[in-house]
Formats: sequence, C-alpha cells, structure tokens
Amino acid sequence: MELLKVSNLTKSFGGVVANSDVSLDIHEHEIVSIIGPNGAGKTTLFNLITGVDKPDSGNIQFAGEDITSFPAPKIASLGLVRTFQQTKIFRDLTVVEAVMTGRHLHDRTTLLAALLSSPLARQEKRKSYEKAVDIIEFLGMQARQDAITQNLPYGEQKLLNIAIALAAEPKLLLLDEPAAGTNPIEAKRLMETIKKIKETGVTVGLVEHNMRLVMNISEKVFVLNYGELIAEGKPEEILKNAEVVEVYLGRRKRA
Amino acid sequence: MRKHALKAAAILGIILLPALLNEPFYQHILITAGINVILAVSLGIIVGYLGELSLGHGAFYGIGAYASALLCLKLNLPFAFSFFIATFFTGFMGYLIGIPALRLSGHYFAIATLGFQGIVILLIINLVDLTRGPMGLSGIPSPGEFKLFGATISFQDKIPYFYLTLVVVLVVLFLTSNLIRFRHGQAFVATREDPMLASSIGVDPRKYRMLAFAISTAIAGSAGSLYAHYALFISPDSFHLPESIYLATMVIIGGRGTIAGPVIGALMLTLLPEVLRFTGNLQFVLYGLMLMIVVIFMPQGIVGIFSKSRKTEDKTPELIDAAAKHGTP
Amino acid sequence: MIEFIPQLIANGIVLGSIYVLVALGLTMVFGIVDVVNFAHGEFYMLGAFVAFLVVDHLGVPYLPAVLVTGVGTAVFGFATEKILIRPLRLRNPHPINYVLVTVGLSTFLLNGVNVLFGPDLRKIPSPFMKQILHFSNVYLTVQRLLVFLVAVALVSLLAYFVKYTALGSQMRATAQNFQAARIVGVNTDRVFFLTFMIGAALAGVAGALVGAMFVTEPTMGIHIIVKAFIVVIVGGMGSISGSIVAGMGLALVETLAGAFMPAEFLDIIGFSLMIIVLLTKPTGIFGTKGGASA
Repeated sequence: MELLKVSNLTKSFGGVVANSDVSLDIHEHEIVSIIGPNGAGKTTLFNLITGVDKPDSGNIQFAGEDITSFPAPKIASLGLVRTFQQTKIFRDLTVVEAVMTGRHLHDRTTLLAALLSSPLARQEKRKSYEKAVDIIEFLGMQARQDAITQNLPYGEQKLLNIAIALAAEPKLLLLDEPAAGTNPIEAKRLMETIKKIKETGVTVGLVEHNMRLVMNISEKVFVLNYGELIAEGKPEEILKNAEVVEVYLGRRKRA
Repeated sequence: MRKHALKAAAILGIILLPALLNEPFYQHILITAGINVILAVSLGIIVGYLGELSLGHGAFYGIGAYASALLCLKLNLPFAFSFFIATFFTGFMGYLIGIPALRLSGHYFAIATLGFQGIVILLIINLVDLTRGPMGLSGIPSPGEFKLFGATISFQDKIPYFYLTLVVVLVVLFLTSNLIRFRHGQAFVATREDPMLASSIGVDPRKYRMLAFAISTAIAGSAGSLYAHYALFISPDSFHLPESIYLATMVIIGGRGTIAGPVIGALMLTLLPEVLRFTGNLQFVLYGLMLMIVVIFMPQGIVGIFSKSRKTEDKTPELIDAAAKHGTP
Repeated sequence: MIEFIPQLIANGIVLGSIYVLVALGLTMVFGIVDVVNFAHGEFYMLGAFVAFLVVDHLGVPYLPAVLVTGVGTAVFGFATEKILIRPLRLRNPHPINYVLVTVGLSTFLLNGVNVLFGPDLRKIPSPFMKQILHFSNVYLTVQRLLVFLVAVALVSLLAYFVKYTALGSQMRATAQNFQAARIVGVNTDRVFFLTFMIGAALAGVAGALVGAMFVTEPTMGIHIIVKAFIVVIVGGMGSISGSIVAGMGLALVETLAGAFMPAEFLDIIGFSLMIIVLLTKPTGIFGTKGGASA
C-alpha cells in the first residue's frame, strides 16, 4: 500500500529551483532512501512533505489523504514525523523529559484534567513516562536517561532526535541525514537501529549521504540532482546507473 | 516527610498571619502582596514558559479591574458574578490581542505589547463616559457581607478580604502549577525551546502560545477584579507602563521558568517598597539596579540560588511511582 | 484654518527633526548590535540635563554646550555597552534579556536623575529662544530653526559616515552578517560600542535642543522613547532612511491632526500605526533585518 505519494512537486526560492516536478512514493514497511549531491533539494523535499514549506505546485498524499496544504503539526498528528539535519533537542530538559514531550499527540490529558490534576492527568503522565523509557531502552540509551540533553555527545543527540520522533508513534518516519557527522561505529549502530524500527512496523524514509548505510538498509533508492528526480530503483540498480555515477563522480575526461 | 511538615507549617503561618499582625496597615500589605503574587505568577507563565516578555500585563490587570467594577456599578451584578465574568472577559481580550501579537516573538513581541499597553490606557482615559477617564471610578461596591456563626462579616474589613485574596492566590497557584506539570506545560516548554521541533511532533506552537497568553491574561484580570473591589476606587494610573515594568521585575528577580520565582519576586517587591518608603524615589533606583544585576549575573533569579540538581526537583509524585516501578532511581 | 497649515507644517518639521535624531540611535543599535535599548530615551534626558548643568553651572554658552552634551552622552553610551550589553552578550544573549537589562537601566537613570535633581521642570537657557523669525504665515523661534538645521547636519554627517568611511562600512557589514564581518577582520566589539556612542550622542543632542525649546525634566525620556519606537518600527528596524521618513511623517501627521483632535487622542495614531506595521510587515517600510541601510 502506498503510504506516501508525492506527485510533481515543484518549489523555487527566488530564482533557484529547489525541487522540479519530483514524484516518488513510499510503500508501507519499506525503508526508502533519497540521495543526491549537496544542494540537490533533498531537505527541501522533506520540508515540503512535512508541511514546513508549501510547494509551488504538485500534490502530496499520505495514507490516502491530501496533505499538501496541511500545517506541520497536523501532518505529524496523522503519523508522519521527521527529524532534522541539525540536532534539535529541548536544551534544558533531561533525555526522558525530552522524549516524553514527543508523547504529546498520544497523551489524552484534557485542559480541565490538567488544571485539576485529575487522576486522568496523572495516569497519562505516568504512561507517557513509561513509554518514553521504553523507547529510550529500545534505542539503548538507558544510561543517559536522566542526563541533560545539551550535555550529550553529538551522536547521542542524533539518537535522541530519533527517540523523540518515535515517541510520536509515526507510521512514516522521515530521517534527515541521521548519519551526518557520525563515525563508522555510530553509523553501524544507526543502521541496526533503523532496521529495528522497521521491524516494529514503522515505514522509514531517509535522506542520506552515507552510501554504505544507504546501500545496506534501503529497499528502494531515489536519486535527486539539481532538484530533479534522475533515478529510482533498488540499491544495486542505482549503483550501476550511469547517470547517477556521473553525478557523483563526474564524467571521465576524454584523454 | 519533612518537606510536607514544613509546607503545612508555612501554610498555617500564612493563614494566621493577619491575626498576628493586627495593624490594618500590615493587613493592607498582605492583601497587596496576594494580588501581586497572582499577577506575577500569571506573567510568569508568559515569561517563563513561553519565553516571551510582555510589557502589557498592567493593561490586562486594568481591563479586569474596570470590567469587574463596571459590571457591578452599571449592571448591579454581585461580586461573585463580576469576578468570574471579568476574568473570562480579560482572557478573551488576551486571546483577541494574541491573535495578531503572538505572530511576533522576541523584541518585536515585547514592543507590540508595549503598543497594546499604551492603547488600552489611552482608551481607558478617553472613553470618559464609560470609565470616567483620568478621574477614575469610585464607589465600587465591595463584595458585601455575610453571616457566620451569628456574626456579620464584611468584606470591607481587611481580614476577611485577606482570606478572600488568599483563597484566590491558592487556587491560582494550584491551577498554574498543574497546568505546567502535565501535557500542556510540556507543550509550552517545547514551543519555547524549539517551535520547529515542536511542530514536527504535533505541538502546534501557535495554539499553545495563544492558550498560555489567554490563561495568563485571564488570571491577571482576576487580580484586577480583586483589586477593584478592595480599593473601591480605580484609575488608569494603577495599570500603566510602570506597573507592567514592576510586574516584569518581580518575575525576573524572583526567577523565571518556575512558579516559586514570581511568588518570591512578588513578595519581595511588595515588601521592599514599604520598608524603603522613607527613601522616596531612591528605592526605584535600587530596583533598576537589581534588575540589571539579576539579568546579567543571576539569570535564574533568586530561585536559582536555591535550586539544587534539576532532576530531583522535577520528580513529581506520579513520576516517582513510575520510576520506582521501572527500577530507576 | 487653511492659513495655519504652513505653521503646522513648520512645527511638524521641527518635531520630526527631534523624532529622527532620537530614532536613529535606536534603529542603528538594533540594526548593528541587535539590541533594543529601552533606556535610549534616558540618553535623550541625560543630554538635556548635561546641557543644563554645563550652561547653568559652568556658564558655557549654549551652542558649545550642545557639543559638550554630544560628547557627554556618547560616554554614557560607551559605558552602557561596556558594562551592560557586552557582559550579557557573553553570558546570556537572548533578545528579551537585552530588553530587561535596558528597562532596568531606564528605571535606574530616570529615578537617579529624579533623586539627584528633583522632578522640577527646568529649561536650558538659550539665546535662540528669544529671536523669532517670521515669513509668510509662519513664526519660528531661531531655536526651532536650529533644531532643524542641527538635525540636517547630523543626519547628513551620519549618512556620509556610514556610506563612505571604513568604519561606516564595518558597521554595515556587522549589521548584515555578524559572523562574516568578524571573519574578515572587523573588530565587532569596537563597532558595537561606537554604535552605542553615536546613537547616544544623537539622542543627547536632541535632548539638549528640546531642553531649551520645551522643558528639561527627568521623565522626558519616557515620552520620547514611545515615539521613537513607533518611528523605528514603522520605518524599519535598522534602516536609517526609514527613521528619517517615518520620523518626519509621524511628526507631520501628529501636528496636522493635532489641530483637529484633542491631544490625548493623538497618541493613539502613533500606537495604532505601530501595531498595524507590526502585524503586516514587522520589518517596517524600509527595513530588512539586514542592516544599517543608508
């Protein structure tokens, strides 16, 4: 089943065309990667899909619903959650508090219940805490549970971003360069983590530069260059695609 | 256990306070302190949990006061009704003003609140038929009297009014600390810290900014009502920019981002002017100095001096239980 | 009524000159240092008091006194940047912290002057108040003409400075991109305190001029700062031309409307204009938060 269907998405900023007539789809339970050189428009694409920006033209369907003009919080409430390229953490909170914040959509505390500190409010907070701890353990971060987020090392902050996103119970999780700035060990850990996430039933979309990661875990790969989709297919097919190779490695010079 | 005993003793002390201080003057200070606590705590929601500075809180205090007074004077409503109507009306005004104003943030938001503060006061001064302008509204009815064990208790006396104020203070503290503790409070913090991240997990920054602002201004309105029916006379001078600055100073010096901070700030800046009254305007020089020093050297305010490790402070009862179940300390 | 219009316009231009002088400092400090200085009105007030002291107690003639005022308030501006703004920038640079610390400074200065000198209204003695010019339907004291001329001179000087000197381009660079400016070697610390000094000096001179024309008293800063904010918002935070256009514009609107409506109502014009701009184009008519555009 097509979970995400992007059709003919175009977006320009001033004179620069960031996305030009891009169409792609992500099916349930897939792990899909979007690759391309810097400036190819990958993050713009994510921003359009998740409601951070509005496309100039084109259409985005998520779980059968047209979300093209929806605002970001609404899109998240439908089950489409993303992480960002920069580490975004809630600075002064502890890890568990930050992940609990991600439970917002699933915390059923009403304003009245909160104001009165009713049993419902307290129970929902407890459940939120427990779920947060579960996610923290799922990602292997238990040791850091009560650490202040801004004190975490970079790689763990990136994991935290994923934890916060997972707390929102996404159907589709879009990760924007999750391996950026990570060393090979952290990247491998990330790879395993993404596979684990897929096993829980979450569909995953990645924007990535780390080819090893991409080739290793993706079932489908889309390649963007200068805002256009230039190739799509299985990882092995993409590796052999002459145009993709040229985009990354340049054309062989005529002697 | 010890913490609870201490709290109980403090509360008992506060309840007995007006009896211990038999001078009407001291009782007046207690009432004023109570009203300032309500104002400071409500401003603290905006400053501490939304991370924005409102220089217009005095205007909302004024809207509540005038609304409540006029409801009694013109429509003969009893205090109980006008108190609640004024509270909701002020919150509604906050909501309306928030629709445009909360699209801004940082200095622009502060300046916008400055603008609204100015406009509200100008309107109060100029709508003379309604508000009697700069001459102020007098003859505001007090909440009346009631019989208790055969004796007549009048709210024109300070001690009963103190208890009325105390009840409102406790209710406000209860509601505010609860608000912060659960889902909505987390949303406020998320909106303050990183609106983009908040959006991506379903927290709509716009919605929560409006909610916090509406609640904060409503509470300020309730303080206005309390003040109007205590002083029995109100004029625009009590609600203008210097008042807004005074309230902001309380929050900052006490400590933003907490509930205790504004309480401490309010108590301090209610008592200090009494203690320092003999110095005339020199005391204001001191307050300006204090504000500068606190902002630069003590960003967490007075509360920051006493705050121990963050972790233990925020473990509210339900979390301690949950943590115990999981086996984490 | 029509005969009064030239007079009103003349008055408006004089008032506008004051608004522009005060607004310029505020807008430059915002554009270059990224700080909203709520105590800016107090620089204006201090200017009036410095001029008063120099003329009244030291017997210095008026015009040199105005010069001294410029220097004196520049020193206050320098002190403010070094003692308050810089430490904050190094520890806690959140925008509202600057607002808070300058609000504190405003309270401190206003009440400090009140305690030292008392709230009485004073007037700086100026010979130019006694001479009156008269052409067609317009009467102006020479003092008023002086206000206009000083404003024109200072604004031209500033515009030249910002556009054609090395320091001026350093200021513009810092306004546009702080990091990039540092990378190419601009001493941003120096740019910051110089901006404060220039802004304070302009406001101080305005205060010295008004202090002879109307009144010198401790709360005069509060009245002017509100107008300055309106001008800066409408004209665009960081835009010099914006301050000039909006400053003159607001003054003219106020003086002309003042003939037809009560004084208290007048203030609503300014506030409403500011709110409208904040809600439609917060960067103002000329503003792009990119700089001390000339």
